[in-house]
Amino acid sequence: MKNLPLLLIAFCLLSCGSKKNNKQKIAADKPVVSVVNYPLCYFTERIGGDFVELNFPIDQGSDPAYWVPDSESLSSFQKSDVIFTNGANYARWLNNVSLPERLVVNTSATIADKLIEVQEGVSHSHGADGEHVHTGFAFTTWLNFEIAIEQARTIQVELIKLLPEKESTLKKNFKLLEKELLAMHKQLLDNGSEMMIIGSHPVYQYLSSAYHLHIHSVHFEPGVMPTSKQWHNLDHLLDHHPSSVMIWENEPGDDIRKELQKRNITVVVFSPCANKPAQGDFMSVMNRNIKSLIDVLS
Amino acid sequence: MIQSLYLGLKYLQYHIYRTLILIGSIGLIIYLPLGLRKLISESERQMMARADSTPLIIGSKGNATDLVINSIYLEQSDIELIAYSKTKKLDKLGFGYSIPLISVFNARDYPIVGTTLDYFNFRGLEIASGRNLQFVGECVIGSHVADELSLAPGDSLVSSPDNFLDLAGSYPLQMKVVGVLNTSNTPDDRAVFTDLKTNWVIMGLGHGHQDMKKVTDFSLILEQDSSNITASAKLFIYNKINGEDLESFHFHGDANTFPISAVIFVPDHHKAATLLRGRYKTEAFKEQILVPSDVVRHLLENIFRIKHLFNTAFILVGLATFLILSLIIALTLRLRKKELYTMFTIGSSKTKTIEIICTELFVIVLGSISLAILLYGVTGYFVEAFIRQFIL
Repeated sequence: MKNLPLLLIAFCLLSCGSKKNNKQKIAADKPVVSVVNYPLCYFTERIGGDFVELNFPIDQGSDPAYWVPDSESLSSFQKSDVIFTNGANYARWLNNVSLPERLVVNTSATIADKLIEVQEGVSHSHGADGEHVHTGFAFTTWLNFEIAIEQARTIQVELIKLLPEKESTLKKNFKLLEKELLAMHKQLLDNGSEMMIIGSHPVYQYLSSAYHLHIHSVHFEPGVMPTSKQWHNLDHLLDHHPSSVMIWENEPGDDIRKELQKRNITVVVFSPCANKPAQGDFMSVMNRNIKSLIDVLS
Repeated sequence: MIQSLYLGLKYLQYHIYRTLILIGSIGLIIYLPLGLRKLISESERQMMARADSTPLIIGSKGNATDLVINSIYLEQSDIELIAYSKTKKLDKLGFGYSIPLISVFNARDYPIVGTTLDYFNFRGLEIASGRNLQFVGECVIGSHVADELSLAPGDSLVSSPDNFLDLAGSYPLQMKVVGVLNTSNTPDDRAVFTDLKTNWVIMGLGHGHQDMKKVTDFSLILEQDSSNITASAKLFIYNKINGEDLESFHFHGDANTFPISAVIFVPDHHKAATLLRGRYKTEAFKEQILVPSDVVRHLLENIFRIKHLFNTAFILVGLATFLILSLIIALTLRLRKKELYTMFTIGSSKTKTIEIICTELFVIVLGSISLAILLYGVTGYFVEAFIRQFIL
């Protein structure tokens, strides 16, 4: 009788251990889906819900476009059941690693004709290759919400292949997501403006092209005070394209704000949300982006 | 009987060289047909096992045997390359999955085989030490390569240039050995595996070099204006890929057009294989589809047709040896006439004399059979060498 409490504690511990094992087993049974950026992670989460195990091993502070995996992260990608990539040359590291190619799904393959080509660096020549320029594509594709819907649709199709028994739920989840993305798309279309906008970074090509916005980009970093040459370039750009709005990926520093105020430029934060936000999710960040932008445009 | 054996052994010991020659020649005559049969049947078994485990091969039209030997025995031959896009097209058909292969270069006489991670799962190859391929510039080696070249994970292996006289050709790449495969007793033990991309870097389709906008040595730049930089031949092209240089590696052109030697196609089921073969028969394809077991069986039938000739030759040689042996015995008896007379004189019966001679013959035959068994036993060790020397 004296040992009864001890026995009960032991029983509870064993039960907990067994529950944990069961949970692990369930987790192990779920298909593992790896993604290369947060928008794809969000879409997969919305469509796949608890039916999939998401693998997005990129730290919150990193830009997934320029992230380079370590051996452990790459190993987690290699063990996936499917790997969703953004396409448009996003995540260059994909070109230099060994992945099970047949499991890699380019979510923008179906809209390849809508990709915007950009020149990366100056043309150059060396060796026997002759003169060449490294061309690529603008890669923040999801800022055109129509493209984002197509990317989500590809995810839905692939998840149904993995989980055919969950087809109806996956389709229902996709429809909900599609509706929300379409609403944002419509909101931006309805609030088009002829106003000239300066982009702090060349990441708004799809936003500009889809919603007929006149965005000219410079190359400023929110946390780094631009050099006098960069300010000069901005002034030069303003001479040709007068603007009173500058959109930023993140809040710029106070000293940058002061300099912009001198030029009568209003700062609007429009985060591409390539990585997981500190607060909220993809939808809340995009809704905030759209509201801020529409406020200044109107 | 014991006395006869003692006398017989003493006689053979006295004529030791003649005895050894007789044992050697009779032993070889017994061994040769049996050994050759073992070599042939074991080679057939090993080759067919490899072919049977490979469902379908797709490659350029041309010599089917060369294509199969290149793809499944990893022996480099002069075959036409096909585009990597073929792999994706095959995957889209939904009949199964494809494993691309490229084997053009070698490293210290071992073939460098560029492939995807699926190859290791398909062949059931496990990593004995280290890890599997992860980054461009890495290689995983077969157990035989590791033993022969004394390589282990962490070491490096340099690809051999395709042509020593072509100074403008592709530069050798120093690959990092990241893993050693378990012994599989297949051609995989003698190969150096890389990712396809690493092979394409060796071919010169991709490379890494200094960022031309950041060079501080202006002798590297021949010409520069706002939109173009022309580098001199002094620009350093990386000959190995490490973590820092990895990002600078890039490919020129569309990877879908890059070359591969062949595709191993793994159908989902037998019907899928039949459907795919049917498509190749009815539609106009630039490539051919092969069932490796059919090609290898045909090859072996042609090679081993000579087996029947050998068998006939061995029967004739055996008969000749038997006749020579009879002659030797007859001549020996004649030479031993005085010895036999002495034996009769000291009281040995005729039967005893025959018993002694038979005992001698028995010892020689026993020795020959033992030698043949010994040789037959060690034949197994030479099957792989035999396949390489006489079949591939």
